[in-house]
Amino acid sequence: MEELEIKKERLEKEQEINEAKKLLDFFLKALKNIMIYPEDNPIPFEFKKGLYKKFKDFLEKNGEFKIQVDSTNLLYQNEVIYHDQSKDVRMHQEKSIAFFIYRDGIREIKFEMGLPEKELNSFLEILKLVVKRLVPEDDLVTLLWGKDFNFIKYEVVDEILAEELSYSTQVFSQPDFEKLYHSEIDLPETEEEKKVKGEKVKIFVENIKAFAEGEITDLNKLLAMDQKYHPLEATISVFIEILNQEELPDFYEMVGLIEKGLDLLIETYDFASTYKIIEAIKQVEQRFSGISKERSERLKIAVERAGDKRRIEIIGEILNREKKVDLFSVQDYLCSLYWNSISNLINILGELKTFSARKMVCRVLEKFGRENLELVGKGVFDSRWYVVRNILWVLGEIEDRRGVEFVNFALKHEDVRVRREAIRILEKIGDSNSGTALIPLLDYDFNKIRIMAVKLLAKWKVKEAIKPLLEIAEKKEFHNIDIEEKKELLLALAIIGRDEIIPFFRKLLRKRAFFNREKKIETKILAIKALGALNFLKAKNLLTEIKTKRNKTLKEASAKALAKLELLPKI
Amino acid sequence: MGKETSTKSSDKKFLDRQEETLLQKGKELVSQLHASIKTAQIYEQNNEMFIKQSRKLFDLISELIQKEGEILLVSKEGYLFLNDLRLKFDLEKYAGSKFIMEIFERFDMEKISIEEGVTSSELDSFVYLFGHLNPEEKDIFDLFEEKIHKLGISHIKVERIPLFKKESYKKSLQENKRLAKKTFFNAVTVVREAMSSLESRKTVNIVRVKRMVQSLVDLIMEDEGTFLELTALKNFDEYTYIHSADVCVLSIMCGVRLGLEKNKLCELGFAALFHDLGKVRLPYELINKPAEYDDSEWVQIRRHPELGVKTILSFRRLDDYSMRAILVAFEHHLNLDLSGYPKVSKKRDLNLFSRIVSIADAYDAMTSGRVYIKTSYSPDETLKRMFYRSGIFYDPVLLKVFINVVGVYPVGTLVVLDTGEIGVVCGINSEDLARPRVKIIADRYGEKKEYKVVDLRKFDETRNEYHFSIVQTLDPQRYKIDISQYLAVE
Repeated sequence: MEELEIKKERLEKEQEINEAKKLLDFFLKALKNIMIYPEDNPIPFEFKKGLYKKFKDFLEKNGEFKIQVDSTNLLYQNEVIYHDQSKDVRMHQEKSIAFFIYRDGIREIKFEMGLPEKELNSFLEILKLVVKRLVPEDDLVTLLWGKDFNFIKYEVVDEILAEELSYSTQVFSQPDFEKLYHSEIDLPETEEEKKVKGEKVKIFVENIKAFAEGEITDLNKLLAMDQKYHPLEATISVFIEILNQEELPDFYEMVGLIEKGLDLLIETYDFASTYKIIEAIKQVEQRFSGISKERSERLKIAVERAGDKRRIEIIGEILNREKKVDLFSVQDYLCSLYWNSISNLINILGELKTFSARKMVCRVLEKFGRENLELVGKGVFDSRWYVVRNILWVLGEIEDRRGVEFVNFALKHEDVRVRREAIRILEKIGDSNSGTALIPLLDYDFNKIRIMAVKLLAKWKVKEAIKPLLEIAEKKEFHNIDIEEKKELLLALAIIGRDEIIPFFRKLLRKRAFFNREKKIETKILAIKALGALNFLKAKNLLTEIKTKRNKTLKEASAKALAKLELLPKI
Repeated sequence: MGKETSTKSSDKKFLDRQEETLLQKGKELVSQLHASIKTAQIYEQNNEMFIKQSRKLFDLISELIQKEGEILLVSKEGYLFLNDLRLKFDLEKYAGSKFIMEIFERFDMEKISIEEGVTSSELDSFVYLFGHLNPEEKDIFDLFEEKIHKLGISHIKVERIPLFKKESYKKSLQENKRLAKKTFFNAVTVVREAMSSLESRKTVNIVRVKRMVQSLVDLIMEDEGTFLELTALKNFDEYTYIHSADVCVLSIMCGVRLGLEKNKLCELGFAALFHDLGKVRLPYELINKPAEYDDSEWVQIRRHPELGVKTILSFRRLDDYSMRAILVAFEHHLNLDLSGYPKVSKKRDLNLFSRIVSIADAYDAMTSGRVYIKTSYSPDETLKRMFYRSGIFYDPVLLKVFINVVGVYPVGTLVVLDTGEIGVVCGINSEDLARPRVKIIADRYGEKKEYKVVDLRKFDETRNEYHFSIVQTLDPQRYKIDISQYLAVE
């Protein structure tokens, strides 16, 4: 009978340990998922939900889940339920969850019944931070403490061994009680005296103990004020005070320390704070600009340094590495720098991997470009075609006529994507005077570029373009080119040349075609359409003339064009 | 998915709100229970005052029962729990919570449960018992339970502290004392190490500092008394380090009274610990000069707030902890009216933590009588002096809070009792600040005697007066009395 009992107990224990092992396995899986996937991903979300359910079931059945920790194992009721398999010591330390917990001094963790989901999830998040080494100035113990969990308890071995202090107080040979009695002790002689003394103390104590309504209000105000306390703003106010009063060279030291602080903030991607500090430095610099040249110069250098090559490159690396960086803050920060950062920004523009980051830097360059157009425009000389294209976009956003000079340079770029962007931007910021730069593009290999150039030439009515356009149109091969290009070219000729170009059109329309007839008819129809797009007398006359021709196709096309002309306003 | 998440977050908000309401009601319950027991100690059960107070308590309890079904008030590990929710108390409710925990302890009680159907007369009788039973009686819990039964109180039940818990509680009290001492020394060691690391331009182990401050917060929340003794010990070789540890401890205590969250207390302790860090950059001989400073030396000393800022900036990244430390280092000598140092160009409101640390700093420096305050004052004299400057140097309300922490006769005060005996204050009673615990060190004839601790709250019913009262405080230095030797924490 007794044996049976023992056997039953053993089986129950085995079962419990087995359940504990399963729970821990699932816990580790959940942790792994949380570490891999971003917070908003449904996978870790589902894992967390599942884990909470498993914990709830286990705790309801067993009351608590208590794990002992050693450097390689996690134990439940003295049985190993997790063992680090790795033989490589370094690998073991990199990956072993037991080691991470053990390393910070935790020897036991206990989850108690009633554990809320919020606590369990926070616990997982803390482990994630520690394992991923995201919190250099905290460890598992400090983070757990900060959460003040009610249902997760832990035992910590504190390895800090303090020295016993030897209290070397003032050395008194012998307390002089006798002197004391003969000089100072002034015991109340009567009951009345005693009462008076007692009353005085009582009044004082009552005054100290009781807080008047006004005092409580003041205190609550003070506490509320602290709720609104903004650490960075308060710190900046201290920086400003110190900068305002420090003598040289202490002033230089302070600026140097602020620079160091800025670098550390960048390392932690706190661009909102760096921005505010830079703005504060600029403010102090303004104050000193007429008073102390040395101080003003040093502060200017601090801002310049914040935008130097090395620092901007670090920011570029961060933008490529960290997906969660707040780009608006980075933009604010970069915008607060001086113009010296422009070339460095252009430099990282080519290194940034995401569209959003590139767009943000472009916006910064746009801001700088409004006052330093040349420096930004020079970006078109960059050897990387994609950088040039971005710079063109920036020039387009700035919409400053002076940018045409740089766009014209880009029109000659060997990369078709750059040329295309250049034409687009030229259209945005240029005018008819900028049109001649487009003429060389009429010979370009890619017809899309040619079409864009022709369209823009027509839009700006660039007279200088008539001759090269005519040269193209008069060539035999012209009939064979792409219909779209042919259409735009003829239209451009009509728009720019008007009366001057009528003889060309007449010749084209009257000429009889024997060879390549189909293409030539196509050209003629396109020419009729081009003439019909503009309501001017000579074009109308020519169309009327063609309408009388025998060719049915041309007749119909002319009739249509004339009918359309009737609807157009007269030019 | 989006809908599910939003439902989840609104559920969470609802639960948080519910928890917050229960927390508020719980604090109110403890406060009303405190007031009712206090009233019961003075008035009879049929007195109008008692009935009025008891009704307030009853209404609150009825409201809670309606919402929660039943009320379970538990005192455990130095905290009060209402239906498993740990209650946190601010300044107004702090004394009440301490009082209730003391009542639980004195009556050997762990839990009070109040069930649906409780009547006002049951509640009146129950509360009245606390005011009229003598907790000093043997087997007080049994007696208390028997009375409850006899009075027909069927909807209120009490549970005794299990023996093993009582033993472990006693042990944990002793353990806490040991830990308190160890952690305090840790604090001194941490400051010493941090300062010497900074002198030799090495890095400071921030995790270690944080862990130490966190331990201090935990231990102070459980047992202030030991720390009051520890801060009253003065050491002259390591003044700067011990002073930093003292200021850290006293500031945390003040923060506890204000009901600051644990994380904020840690931030406060951290800032207080490093408030004088700037001194690391001043010449050792200047800091420890045994004589008064001349004008030029004062100019140097007055630079330590800015130097503190620079020192913190040199070894810390800017985060919540370091930013608060920077602020406190800069502001702790500014004074409330900004008449202190360094001079500031713009009017500013001192930060809450700076206000607390400046009080703790001044108190500890004045009672230590070292460094640049060459004359030391007794703790009570120090408080008097500080009180005169209340509203000018120090925040008046925070100074009152501080005095509530350290007592009107702080630990370490040398006192003369109305019996003629001389004693050293070794513990305060937050319920009665004028009646601390005193270690008697000499009899009425000036003879040294076996040390005995007397609680000045002890009332002699037959003579209708207190057994002992303080009639005078004395300056220990004048009579070559080393207070520390009577305070050494076991």
